[in-house]
Amino acid sequence: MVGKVTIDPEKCRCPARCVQSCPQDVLDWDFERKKAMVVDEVECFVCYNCVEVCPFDAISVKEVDWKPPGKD
Amino acid sequence: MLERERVRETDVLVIGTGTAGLRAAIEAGRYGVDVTLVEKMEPGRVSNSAYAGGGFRSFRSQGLKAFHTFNDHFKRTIEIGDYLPNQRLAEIFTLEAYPRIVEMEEFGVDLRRPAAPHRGGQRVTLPMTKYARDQGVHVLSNTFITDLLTVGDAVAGAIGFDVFSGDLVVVRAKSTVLATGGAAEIYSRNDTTANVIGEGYEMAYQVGASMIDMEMVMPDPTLLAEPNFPTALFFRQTPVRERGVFRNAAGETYLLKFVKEHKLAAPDATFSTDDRYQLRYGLEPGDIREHESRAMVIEVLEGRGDDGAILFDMTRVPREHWSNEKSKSTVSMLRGFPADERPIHMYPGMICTLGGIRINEDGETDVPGLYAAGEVTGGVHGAGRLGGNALSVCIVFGARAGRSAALRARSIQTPDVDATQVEERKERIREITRRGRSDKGDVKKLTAELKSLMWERVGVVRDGQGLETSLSEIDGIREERLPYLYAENPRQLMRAVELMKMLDAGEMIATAALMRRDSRTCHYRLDHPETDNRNWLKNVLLRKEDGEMRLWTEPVVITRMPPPEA
Repeated sequence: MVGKVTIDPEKCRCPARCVQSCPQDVLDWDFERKKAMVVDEVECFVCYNCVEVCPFDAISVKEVDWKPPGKD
Repeated sequence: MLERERVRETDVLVIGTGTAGLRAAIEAGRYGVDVTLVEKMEPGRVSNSAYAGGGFRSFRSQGLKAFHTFNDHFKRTIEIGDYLPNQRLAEIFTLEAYPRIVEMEEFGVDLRRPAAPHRGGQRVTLPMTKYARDQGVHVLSNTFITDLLTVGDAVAGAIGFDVFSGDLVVVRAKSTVLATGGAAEIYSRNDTTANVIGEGYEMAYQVGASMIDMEMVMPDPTLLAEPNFPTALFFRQTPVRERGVFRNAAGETYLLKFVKEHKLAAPDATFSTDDRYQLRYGLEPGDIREHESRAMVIEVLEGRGDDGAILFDMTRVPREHWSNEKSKSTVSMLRGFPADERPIHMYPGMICTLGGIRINEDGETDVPGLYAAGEVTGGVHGAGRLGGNALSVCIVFGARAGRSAALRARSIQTPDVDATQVEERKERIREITRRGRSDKGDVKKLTAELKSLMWERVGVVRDGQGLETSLSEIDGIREERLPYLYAENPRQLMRAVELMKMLDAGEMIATAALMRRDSRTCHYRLDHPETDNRNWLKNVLLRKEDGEMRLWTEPVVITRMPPPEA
């Protein structure tokens, strides 16, 4: 279960409910820009908790194929 | 940061919105008292409860392998706990689990609903959060509680801060219920949510509460150990998973050794897979996960691992099992990985702590005004936990702690807070925010260091020397690195304070593990590999006395099921 997490900075404007719902610290809050950010994508196991809490539809998580190390 | 201050006065303060905290808050509310429920994350969404399978065991519930009588469920709970559970607590638990489960319907919980992948427990925690709010429970989210406040001997509330605004939060309370969960996240390999770091142990310890069985930390053998996969993924039972075989680097099924070690009958040739082997001997998958985990770690320690892990081989599983609808979770988990061509690396990881704050039948700790429930407590599970018992324990003792907390609140006045104490607590946290950025004080690096030392030295397989080393390494981090610990924003401040609490929880686990000189279920020492009922059919307890950690042992509370004669 490997995830690709994308945040749309235009739409992101709530106080970090996604960050506060992530069980894996994949997300963190950028206090200067006041936006959520992806900090540790490899730990995402695609639970969609963040997607469910976002009131602005600003975050998306996609299940993607696992790739061996060294291949992007 | 930490400039403005908000003060709230309440009757019952409950900390944590997992199943135990929610149940305690709901119960307290039934007594007509004002209840404040605090959560450092998004309420009801992130906890071991929320990310559990969502199964509750009782001797009448279906689904999990059924135990049809009180005696069956009780007996299995004590056996799996290797005779360390407090039998008085276990009796209450076994009796009350079923009525507590049935009652969940009132909170909007429908256990017949299929559990969502990964966060099956949210079908419990989300409706309960809503129900609690509807009943008038005041919920404070994004609020990280850092310390309990005391007046005289009694707990009088707590202090913390808002992890976004940085405002200080002081809650004055007549009763306080800790339901902050366990501490498996202090291990580098774990499947718990990142917030489960054991702050409740530290907070209770600081005010003088006793801890029991802290050395008992439960592993699961089947966490992925393959680069570019998240570490928290573990394998649920599916037709594909059941037909896979664990092998060491030489291709041997190390389980043969495990069987010999446990003096089980030698498996015949047809038992090529681990799980079918378990089923053959009347065990439910999961019943022996502590032993399996230990066997895996020993394989690796003795040099038969592959890249520090064990290989799980599904290459010979016939195609029809891959296409079976029931295998969907395995197939989707491994998407992109050529599991039909090569084995996948697996290795154990910690899934929960079994010890914790000592409570009595009413959910009271040793400290007046302080109650506790759920994974933060110890006593019911002993040295090992029966699958499905974790969540049932949360509702049984959550309800009991909530009731006791409410009854106390009805009989006393709101205590004043000690202004000097508040100031002193604040100052300790403020200090972190005043320090400049430095490599030495980087909370992410320090946390990673602690987590790997816990896993390496205080993990599934332990020995006296390693445990002693772990304690001096923990001290080393405290003395040499904590003076540099810094935080640039309130959320980082939460992580920094969490690290300080993780160090304390780690010390409690390692110290208790060093004291217990035998092995049973979740605690295995290479230098004391036998279960020694003559000398160690005891609980290890610890608490803070005169600023020092004092340890002692007490005989196990046995009411109806003595251990078999040695």
